[in-house]
This record gives sequence, C-alpha cells and structure tokens, in this order.
Amino acid sequence: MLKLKNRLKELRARDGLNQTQLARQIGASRQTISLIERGDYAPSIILALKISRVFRESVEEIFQLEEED
Amino acid sequence: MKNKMLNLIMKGAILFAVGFSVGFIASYGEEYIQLLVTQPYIIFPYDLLYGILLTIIIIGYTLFYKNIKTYKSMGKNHLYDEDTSELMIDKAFYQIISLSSIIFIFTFIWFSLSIMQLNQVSNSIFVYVFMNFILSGIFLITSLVTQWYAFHLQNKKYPEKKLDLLSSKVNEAYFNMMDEGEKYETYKISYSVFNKMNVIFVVALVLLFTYGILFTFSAVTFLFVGLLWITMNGIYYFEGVKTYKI
Repeated sequence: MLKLKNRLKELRARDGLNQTQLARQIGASRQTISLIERGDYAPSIILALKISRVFRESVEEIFQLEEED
Repeated sequence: MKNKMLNLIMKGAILFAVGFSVGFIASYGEEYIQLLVTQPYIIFPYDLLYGILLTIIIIGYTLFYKNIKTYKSMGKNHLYDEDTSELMIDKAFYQIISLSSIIFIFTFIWFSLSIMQLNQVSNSIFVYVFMNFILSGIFLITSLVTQWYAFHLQNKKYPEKKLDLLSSKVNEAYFNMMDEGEKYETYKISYSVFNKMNVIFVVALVLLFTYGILFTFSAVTFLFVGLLWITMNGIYYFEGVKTYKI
C-alpha cells in the first residue's frame, strides 16, 4: 500500500518556522499542518502548492509516495 | 500488529460494555434500576441518583478547571517548544468546550428530574424536593455561565473563529470556519461515532432480545431502542443520498 510521506518538519526547521507561522502563511490551521506532518491527512492540490511556494521547492520535493512497511 | 489487535479488542470490549449497559438499563429499567435508585435513599426518593449526578458534575468542573489551568500556564512557562505548547493549548480548548457541554447535559437532566418530582411529591418531603429543585436550578445557571465562559475564552484565543453561543446554528457556523484538514478530521470522527453507535445498538438489542426470551416480553423498550437505531441510519441514508444528486 502506498503512503504519502512529506518533508514538512525538516523544511520548517530549515526555514525557522513553527507550525503556527507556516499555517498563517498558507491560510490554514495549525492542526492541519500537524495532521499533514504526521501523515494523517493528504492535503489538497491548492494547499500543497501553497506549501511548495513557501519553501521554494517543488511539490514532488516535499511530498513523496512511498511503499508502506 | 500485536498492538493493533490489542487496540481492537479493547475497543470491542468498551463498545460491548456500553451496549450492555444500554440494553441492561432498557430491559431492567422498571425493576432493578428503580430498586437501585429509589430504594436505598437517605432523605427522599431519588436523592442517591441526584447525589451521583452532582458527583459527576463536580468531576466535570474539576476537569474543566484543570484544563483552564493548563491553558493559562502554557502562556507563562516555556517548558515545551512552541509547536508542543500550541498542541497542548488546542487540546485543552477542545476539552474545555466538550466538558462545558457535558456538564450542561448532566445539569439539564438533574433539573428536569427535579421538576418532574416536584410535580408529584407528597407534603412530607416537599421541602427537600424543593431544595433539590433550587440547587439543580443554580447548577443549571452555573453550567450556562460555564458554557459562556468557555466560548468567551475560545473567541479570545481564536478571534478568526468567533462563535455566538446564542446562535441556533453555532455548530454549523463553527464547521464553516474550519479549514480542509479540520473538516476532514471532523468527518472522520463523525463516521467513527456512527460506526460505534451501530455496534452499541446491536449489543443493546441482542440483550433486550435475550431478556425478552428468557424473562419478560417487553415490546416498548425493544421498539424504542430499535427506533433510535433506525432514526440514526435513516438520517445517514438521507444525508448520503444527497451526494448522488443528478
């Protein structure tokens, strides 16, 4: 089964952003960021594009489909 | 895998226990519950039941206060990183709002029972029943103030999600203010509640059926629980069918 993995936590640390700050920049809630980071929620294309714009990385660089163990 | 299995067994056991309780109360309601609640009274009938309700309400208030303290202390101390602090504040708020609603439900039950009893009481215990009515009224007003305070705190912390407690569509308004992740979580929780309630109804009806076969046939309680189950699934059906509109 495929699972959506992401580098959100790593990229936030790189840019010195906490969840609340990132959420504010993309117009989402902190809870949504937390859900995405934990892999409990796959964001919409709009949200994924907004995240990629904040980190200046492509969507594929942030989100990857990986085979689940 | 082992943890998942254990989790599943635990959940199943909890659901069975709740279903069993619902079925037990429904089937033995007239006899044993009556005995348990009214017979061992201290001053007037049902005082033990009111005592249990009061204890639950006080526990609710204690937990409510604990969460308020967690929320207020989070802003002052810096024991955790910002993300963890925010997560704990969100969790405290979730519990504050939920507890204020649960406290209101219990006080409402207490107040309603006290009015019903006041209506049919004999003169010898009228003073006690009347005092109970006054006390339940005070607690009902206090629970409303508690709900107002919970909403006030919520509005202060999240001004972008301001709620109007007096509005009849407060839940709908709150849902519309959520973003996609929060809405997804709400749908997930609601579906989980729906599934668990189905199991609870099955267990309750099986118990009622067994009781009806072995002891006394009671169509009313069976129909009442069955009707609640049908209503829940009926609402689910009508809400679901809307998504297939041409």
